[in-house]
Amino acid sequence: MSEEQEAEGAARGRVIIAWVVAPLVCIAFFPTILLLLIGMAPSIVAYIVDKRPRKVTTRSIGYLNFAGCLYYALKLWMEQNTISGVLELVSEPSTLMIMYSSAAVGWMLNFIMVPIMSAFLAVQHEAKIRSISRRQEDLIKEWGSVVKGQVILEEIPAQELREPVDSAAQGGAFDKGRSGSEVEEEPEENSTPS
Amino acid sequence: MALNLSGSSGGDSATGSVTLKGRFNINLGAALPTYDVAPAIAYRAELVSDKNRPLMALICDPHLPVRADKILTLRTLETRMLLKPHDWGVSDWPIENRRCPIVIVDRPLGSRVMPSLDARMRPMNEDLVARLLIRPAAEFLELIANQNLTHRAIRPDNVFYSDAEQTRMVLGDCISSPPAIAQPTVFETIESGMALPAGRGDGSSTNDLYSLGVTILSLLIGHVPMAEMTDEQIIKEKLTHGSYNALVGRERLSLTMMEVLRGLLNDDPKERWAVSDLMFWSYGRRQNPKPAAVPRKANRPFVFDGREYQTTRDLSNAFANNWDAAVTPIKDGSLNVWLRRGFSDEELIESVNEAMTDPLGIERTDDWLVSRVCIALDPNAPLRYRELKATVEGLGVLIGHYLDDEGMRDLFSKVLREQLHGFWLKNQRRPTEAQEKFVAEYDRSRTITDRIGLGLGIERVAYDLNPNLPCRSPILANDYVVEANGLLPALEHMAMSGVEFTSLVDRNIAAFLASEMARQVQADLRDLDNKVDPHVSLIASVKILSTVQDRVSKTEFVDLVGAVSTMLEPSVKRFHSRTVRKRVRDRLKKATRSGRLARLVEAINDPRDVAADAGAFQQATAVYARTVMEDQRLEYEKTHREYFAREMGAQMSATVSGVITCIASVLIFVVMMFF
Repeated sequence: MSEEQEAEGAARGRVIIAWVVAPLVCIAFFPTILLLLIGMAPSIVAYIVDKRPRKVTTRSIGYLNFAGCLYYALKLWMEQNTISGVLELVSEPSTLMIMYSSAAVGWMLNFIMVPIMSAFLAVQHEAKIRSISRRQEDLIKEWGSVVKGQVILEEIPAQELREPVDSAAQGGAFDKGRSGSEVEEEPEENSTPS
Repeated sequence: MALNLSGSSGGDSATGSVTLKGRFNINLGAALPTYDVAPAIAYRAELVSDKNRPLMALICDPHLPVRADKILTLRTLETRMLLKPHDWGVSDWPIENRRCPIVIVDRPLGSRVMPSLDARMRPMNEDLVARLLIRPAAEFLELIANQNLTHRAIRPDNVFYSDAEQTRMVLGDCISSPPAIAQPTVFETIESGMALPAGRGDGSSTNDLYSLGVTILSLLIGHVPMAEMTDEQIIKEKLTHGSYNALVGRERLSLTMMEVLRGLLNDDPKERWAVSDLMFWSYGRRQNPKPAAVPRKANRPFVFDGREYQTTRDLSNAFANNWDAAVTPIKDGSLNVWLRRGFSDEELIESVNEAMTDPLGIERTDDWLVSRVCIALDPNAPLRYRELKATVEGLGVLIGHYLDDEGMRDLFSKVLREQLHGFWLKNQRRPTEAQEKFVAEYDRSRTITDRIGLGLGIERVAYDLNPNLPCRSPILANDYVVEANGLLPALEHMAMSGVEFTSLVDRNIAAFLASEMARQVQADLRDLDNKVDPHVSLIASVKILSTVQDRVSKTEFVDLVGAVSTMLEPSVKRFHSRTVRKRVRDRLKKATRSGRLARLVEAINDPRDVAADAGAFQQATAVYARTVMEDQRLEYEKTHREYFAREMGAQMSATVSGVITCIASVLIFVVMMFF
């Protein structure tokens, strides 16, 4: 049996377990699930609109949104772990306000990080450019201008110099959360016409 | 000729002296025009250790080879019949403003026997000629013949009275110029006279005996015979009437003298008197020399170029003198018909037919055809190929003389390529051992002639065939270098006088050194030929000179090394690293002070330095390329900073919110559980 067949068998097993276990969990912890569905509605919406593969925007909203819901989920377990208990909790305005506010904090965090990172990148770029310039000067001083060679530009893949596709224009306001390594690969990935 | 023969008569205006080898002083103001031996000029010289010894210095033409290899043998000969050479060397010659070869020879105390070849004097008494010239000359010629030497400059103006009382005659110098180069045609045998003066070669004692015969005749009649004739006329007269008849003509001579002249002037080298015959004659034993064989004449003449010819020898000479017109009678068959009808000599006809047919069936040039037919018609004549005319012994000397003449070089290479020397040898009835040896040498040279690499080609052949030929390089234009060990002192001399070198080893020097020390310099000669990298070529030339210094010269040359070091300065730039360049320059400076070229080569051409520099330079280029790529990537990120800020901000906010959530969750648990 090949590895691919083994992997396919394992995935199928996990799906079967999920379809069996998930309904059981939903039945056993239905009040908690209901509370989280109501309290984490902003995260669910963010998940739907976030186009990034690793859903970094959803994660930043979702983590804090969960922290806002956690207190009430524990309270539900310790006091009245029923549907009426859930309704009682959500009927209090402060409950929903706290849960949604925590999601808003995640969103705000996502928003204010952009200028901070911009400033950080500016400083980092300047430092790197100075370092590179110094290394080049040292090389020319030791080896002369011939060290520049003829193959420099040929060594840089042409694709790397193409314009990145503006994710805001393509994926909306939430299409922002990606890792640094993915960021560098972006121009190549978007090189094909959309 | 570079030296002006009349220069010695005007040399009195010069002052000072030149010292040769620290042993001889030559007084610049004491020219001796009465003892000039063309093309050399005579000056009074004195031995430092014995000033009373009568000596003179012959300042030789620096463009001609001195027969230096003969000096030692001639100096040790037990004879009083030659102005003996004592030594030779190269020295500055202020009058010519260059360096010249100088030969020190005995100075006669009397005058020339005949003031000049144009002069007319009172005929000399036969007894006097026999006593003062013939007998001592016979003894002398026997002596040098035993040493395989020839004089080749026996003529009346090169015979001197050795004392003021004129009781003894002595032959003049014979080594200051190539053999027979200054001999007028009349003093040469028919074959030698047909050749160009530079292409006569050493010859044999029979050539000297013939010259002696004409000299004797000149003294007996008081003038040079046939003096008013051109060289071509002299040859034609000798061919038509035979040398004896042509030279003696209607002159009245005693039977005794007629006997010796018939013997010496016989045109058949095999019938010509040998040295022993002359010795016998001088001791009083009278002989009856065979009369010269009458050349066989055809029944009817052959008409060529409007003239009639009855002998093959005459016709061959006419063909050689009218080369282009000779093609027609050879090709249209009229020559063949004449030979068949005029001579019943199947061997001759077969020989001419062979000359006209190529054994390999290759279509050949008209020049090839005419040259071979001339050989077949007159096998004794020299090799002739258009303007090239040389005896088989003199062919090598000829190319040495005409090394700068493009036309003659071309003709010489054709002669070797078409193996005319081999055909000439094939046509000889009884070739001498020396002639066979020369032909074998030309065969060996044939493979080198057409090769174009440095150290090969015609230059190499010329130096191989002429051990006395000075290096003809333009670099050494003002010097005279005849041996490898003289090269570096000559260059040192130039460096001391501030000459700026543009190159060190040119085609001539390469061939000259390859001829002298081929095995040691062969590999560097290949690098010297490198047309791609001038540094490789320059360093190879320094390596060659360093080999000469280490193997031959074995002394230090500080000025030369300094000049070479300056030349090598641009080669430092083949190293890329500034640090390495500085190190190499420092080493060059140190090496310059040592006076050894090998040190320079070590400094500039250390293989480890070269390899390390090349490797490090490649790495540096790669590093620079990476920095440029990084720079461009940064520039790209800078241009699209907002985009990258958004992406990295989202990532960062996810991380921060995760951390906050973890802390908040722990706190909520703690509060809920314990409060």
